[in-house]
Parts: sequence; C-alpha cells; structure tokens
Amino acid sequence: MLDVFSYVKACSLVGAGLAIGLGAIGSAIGEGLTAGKANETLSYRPELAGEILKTMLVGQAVAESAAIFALVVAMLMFFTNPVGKPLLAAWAFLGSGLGMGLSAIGSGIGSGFVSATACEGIGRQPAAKSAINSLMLIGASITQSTAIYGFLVSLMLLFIGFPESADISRSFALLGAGLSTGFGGIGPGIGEGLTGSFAVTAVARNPEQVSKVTRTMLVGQAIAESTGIYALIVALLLIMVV
Amino acid sequence: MEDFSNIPQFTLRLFNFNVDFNTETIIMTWIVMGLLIVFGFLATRKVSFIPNPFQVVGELLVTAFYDLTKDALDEDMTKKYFPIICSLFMFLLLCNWLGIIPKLSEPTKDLNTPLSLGILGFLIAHYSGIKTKGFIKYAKEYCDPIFFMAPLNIIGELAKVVSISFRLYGNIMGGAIIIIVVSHLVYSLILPPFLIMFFGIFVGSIQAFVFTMLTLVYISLQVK
Amino acid sequence: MEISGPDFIKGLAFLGAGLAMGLGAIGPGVGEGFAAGKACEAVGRKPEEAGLLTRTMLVGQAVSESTGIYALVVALLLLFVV
Repeated sequence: MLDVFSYVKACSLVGAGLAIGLGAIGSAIGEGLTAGKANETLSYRPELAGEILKTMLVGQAVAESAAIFALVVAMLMFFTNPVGKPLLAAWAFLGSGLGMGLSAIGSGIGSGFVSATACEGIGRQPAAKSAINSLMLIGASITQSTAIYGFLVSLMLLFIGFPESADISRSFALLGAGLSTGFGGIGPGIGEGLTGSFAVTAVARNPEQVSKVTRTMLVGQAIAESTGIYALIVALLLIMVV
Repeated sequence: MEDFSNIPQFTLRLFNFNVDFNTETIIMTWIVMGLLIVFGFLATRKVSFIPNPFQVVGELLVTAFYDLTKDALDEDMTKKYFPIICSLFMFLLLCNWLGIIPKLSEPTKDLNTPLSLGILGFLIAHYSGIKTKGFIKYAKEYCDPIFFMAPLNIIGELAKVVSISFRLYGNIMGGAIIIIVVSHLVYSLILPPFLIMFFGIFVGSIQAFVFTMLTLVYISLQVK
Repeated sequence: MEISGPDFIKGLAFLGAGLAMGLGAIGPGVGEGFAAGKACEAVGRKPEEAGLLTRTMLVGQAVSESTGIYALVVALLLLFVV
C-alpha cells in the first residue's frame, strides 16, 4: 500500500526527471544550430575564426540558460524533503516539472536561431560586430522570457503551501497550471527567436539602421510574447484562485 | 544540500509585522559597494595623461557604456541616464564575480537583489516615459490596439520586471547549484575551478551585461 | 480517497483550461514572431518606411493573435463557468 510520503517522493523524482529531460531538448538544439552555422560561416571566411568563435560561445551561453533554469528546478525537486507534505504536493511536483521542461524547449530553440544568424552576420559584415553582438544578446534574452515564466510557475508550485486535504479538482488544477505555462512557452519562444534572427540579419545587411531595427524587433517580440503571458495568467489563476 | 535551506536571517519585529533581513546578502552587497567605492577612488584620484591601471579600466568601462547608451538614447538623454546604466553594470558584474572567492557568495543569488534592481529599472523607465511624453500620451499607449486590451498590456509591462529579474537570479543560482553539486560529486578535485571560470566569470559577465542592456532598452522604448 | 463525479469533472475542466491555453499559445507565438521578423528585415531594407511597416506588422499580428485570444476565452470559461 502506498503511503503519502512515498507517493510525493516518487512524484518529485518524476518531476525532476521531466524538468531537466524536457528542458534540455531546446537548448541543445539551439546550441547545435549555432555551432553548425558558425562552422558554415567559417568555411567561407576562415580569417574571422576568432570573432565567430567568440560570438558562438556567447550565443550558446545565452541559449544554455533555459536548460540552467530547468536544472535549478530539477535539483530543487531532487533534494526537496517530502516529509509532511500533503498529497496535493505530488501533483504540484508533476506540474512544476512539466511546466519548466516544456517551456524551456521553445526558448532554447529560439535563442539558438538568434545566435546562429549572429554568427552568419559577423561573417557577412565583420565591421558591425559590436552592433550584431549586442542585438543578439538583447534578442536572445528576450526570447528567454517564456522560459522564465515557466521557471516562476515551477518555483511557485514547489514552494507554495498546500492544505492537508483537498478535492481532486485542485490537483488537476496544479497539473494544468504547469501544462499551460509549459506548452504556452513553446510557441512564443520559437517565434521571438525567429524575430530576433531576422533582425540580426537585417542589421548585418544594413548596420546603420540598428536603432530602428532594434525598436521594431522589441515591439514585435513584445506582441509575440502576449500569448505566453496569457498562458502565465491562466496558470496563476489555476494556482491561486481555483 | 543544506546550503540552500539554511539562510541566515535577522528578524526585526516592527509593530505587528516581522521584518526579515537576509544578513548574508546584505553583508555581501556592502562588500561589493565598498569595492566599487575603492575602485572609483583609485581610478579618479590621480587622473593623468599616462593612466594608472585603475584609470584604464575605468575609462574603458565609461567609454564603452557611453557609446552603448548613445546608440539607444538621444544625446542629452544620454548624459542623464548614462551614470545609472554604467554603475548598474559595474555593480552587477562585481556581484556575479563575488562568488569566485571562497566563503563569499553572490548577492544576486538571492532573488531580492535582482528583483529590487528590476523594479528600480521599471520605475525609472516609466517615470522618464511620463516625463517626456506627458501622461495622456503615455496612458494612450496602453490602449493599443483596442482599449479593452489595456489590462493585458499592463500585465505585459509587469511581466518585464519578472523576466528581467528571474533571468539573472536563475542563471546565477543555477551556476551556484551546479558548482556545489559537481564539487560534491568529485570531492572538489579538478573540475570546480573550470566550472567557476565558466559560470562565475563568463555567464556572470554576460548576464550582467544583458540585465544592463535590457534596462537601457526598456528606458529607450518608453522615451521614444 | 473518495472521488465524486462533479469534482472529477471540475478537475478535468481545470486540466483542460491549462491545455487549451498552453497549446493555443503555440501557433500565435510562432506566427507573430515570424511576422515581426519579416518586418525587421523589411525595416532593414527600407528604413524610411519604418512607421508604415510597424503599423502593418501590428495589424497582421493582431489578426494572428485572435486564435490565442479564443484559447484564452475558452480557458477562462473552463475555469469559471464549468
């Protein structure tokens, strides 16, 4: 017969696995895309090896942060102490793992798009490397926002206190909160990454227009993120209000 | 893993509320501020044509951030907002690097530090937006494209504070967790210095720069 | 643990709300991002038309956002009405 302790503990371990397992997908794809583009650019312009390597490493470090958030959540869940936690916490752990893991997929891939085109752009226009690099950092880090919303929801699900006994609907609500931010983070992450990568290409073609392109990119990304924010609102409603 | 659950706290009872101070973070922030004041003193004490090392570093930071600020804002705006951008970067850089020294920990590892800096940037951006555009035009931007989108637009603005501060916190906290776990697994043999190089210096610098640039970008979005 | 019928239905409605908003956010996110990216490219090519391009981008994004809003409405209905 399963007691509450082992049930919660098992769910926390499953949640930890889901968080880092799903969360590693996106960042790995994104970093691979970046490295591939960097290699392709290097084959055309081998004399720019140092510059391209630097941009590639910085871009990959930014794309990595989605996986780092997933790792933080996984570690917190792994070392959490389930003694005295109610049954509801088991569902919260599952929701937390799914929310963090799924939301990190989109952001990882999206940041990879941005840094891949940054490597390409430096090969095309080495003189504009500082403009390209700072635009890449801004674009890739805004792409990360939906993974950060997933991180926020996961931390809330981990640390919020639950009542000892609750009806079954509350537990589905917690799972739904994780799924909402998780899936909701995929689309905006990829979309904002596409925006950033087109913006970097535009700056590499026409470096004088960097401020206009940056402004268009930021406005466009802010709107592309709105559905991710709706998903965050629904998740917060599911955790707090329901 | 008791490193994470054991947070040194100092509780002050004020009227009917408990006010908790996170002593470790406060002391570390004071250390960073002290280092910055000493750096500023050494860099500007004897300004000469042949600069001393501190002056070189100071000039490097100031010119680089002056150019970055000028790209995003107008000429006269730059003079106004450049000091806060540059000092924000120096503060965050030292905060993120502080964990390299044993027994010290990064103040940015505590969510309170990034969150308060994010709220600071938010307030500055919106204050400057209201000041340059006037309140009516500022408020009208929230009703874009249709007026009933206003609550969603306001939530979108607030979400910026969440994303900017949690980005810094998550990265620094993640680096610290990885270093502790890996050091524990390999009995602190060879790997930890390399990890500290990567997470402390490389990721720390990038995230400090990203935080500063995003604050600058949010100000420039409001101003223009 | 005793599970009653209405409770179960309510729980699955909450799960459905999360899934509706989560999955519904994927499409608009990718689409709006693509639109904004193309707008950035166009601004880089023809910077003097930046105002027109931004306006067109916003209208196009508003249309592609509509499915996301439907998902939000359905999620809120599932949360508060069912």
